[in-house]
Amino acid sequence: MAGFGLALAQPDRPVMVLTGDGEMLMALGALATIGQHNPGNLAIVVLDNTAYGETGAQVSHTATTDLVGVAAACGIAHCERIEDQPAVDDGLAGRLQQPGKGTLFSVVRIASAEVPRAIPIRDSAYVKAGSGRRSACRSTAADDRGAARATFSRRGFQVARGTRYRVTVQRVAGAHPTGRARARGGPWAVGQRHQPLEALEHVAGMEHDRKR
Amino acid sequence: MSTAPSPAPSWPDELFGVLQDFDVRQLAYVPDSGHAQLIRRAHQDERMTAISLTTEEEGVALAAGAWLGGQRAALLMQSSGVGNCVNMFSLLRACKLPFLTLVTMRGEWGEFNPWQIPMASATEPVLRAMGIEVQRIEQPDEAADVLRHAASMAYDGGAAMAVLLSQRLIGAKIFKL
Repeated sequence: MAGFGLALAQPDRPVMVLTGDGEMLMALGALATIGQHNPGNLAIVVLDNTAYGETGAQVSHTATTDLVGVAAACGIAHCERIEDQPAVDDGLAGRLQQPGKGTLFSVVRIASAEVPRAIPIRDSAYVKAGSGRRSACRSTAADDRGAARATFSRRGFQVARGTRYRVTVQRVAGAHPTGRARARGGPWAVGQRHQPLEALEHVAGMEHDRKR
Repeated sequence: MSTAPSPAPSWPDELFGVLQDFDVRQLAYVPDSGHAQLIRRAHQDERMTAISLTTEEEGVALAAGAWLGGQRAALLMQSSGVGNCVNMFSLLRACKLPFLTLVTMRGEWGEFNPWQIPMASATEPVLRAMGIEVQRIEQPDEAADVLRHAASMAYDGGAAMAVLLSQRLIGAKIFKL
């Protein structure tokens, strides 16, 4: 819902909500609320491992509940299930970069295995304040040197077939596109890059300063 | 429902004027008869987006997102809806977000519905327990003044504010069986 409020407030900016199946199940009604408005600049991406990972990996309700079906029944314009990396790179990435006529709801099936992760900053007021900031940061990737005003967060996860993927969600402000799978239009881009894996929690519209 | 213009604005119209003055752009609500006029005005207003919620806690998160995007939002709900919001109110304190809600009171004046009674006396303590400042409107002629000062505390001062509209002001529902 916070992503929905943000998307309404910033209709010219793509907004992506990245969440898990457990959290999405807590707010099924929000899909009915969003389905009434269907903003084209909003995408909801659910990483679905059918488990409540933080609390001991109890099986979640997506073992029996089909979130894609729920979203479609709530009137969300574009609902899809993604089960392999090509569908992320070639399908989802493009759809995130080019907002459509209605809200996108995408359930990405991922494996439950624990991946190395970094603890995100938990000071919520700090994170909120960071959403308005642009900071120059230099990425470790050679093809990123042109992106002087990029800030980014990355989340790595394993797709169902067990191969490790690194998915980069990158916000590039005012930089020219470099490298493959980079910003092709719109401020948000999802691409694949080979960098040390760091997983950060990310909320749509918020950025973390990254000094490298 | 009369559609003829009334000679003087009613207190709901005055409240709506205050929201307009403060450039509130998103008005979230769970349908409520006490807020019927405000809801109607929000849907008619070109600058406002009226959002009907399936449950009141959605409105708290919506308001947070609106603020992140540079817009002001307000939440219209009934006293019973406050109970549905409790954990979501944590968002306001954790992130230090401004907030404004208008709460029509049930269960405190001539209430016929037993399901409304429990939250009536719990509404103010629950709001205060979650760090939200509570103010009340009892009389029609104080409505705009109270809301104006509460809105200023919220949008200018950054506070989380709840303005309770007494059931005596709204008028107790009369259902004939």
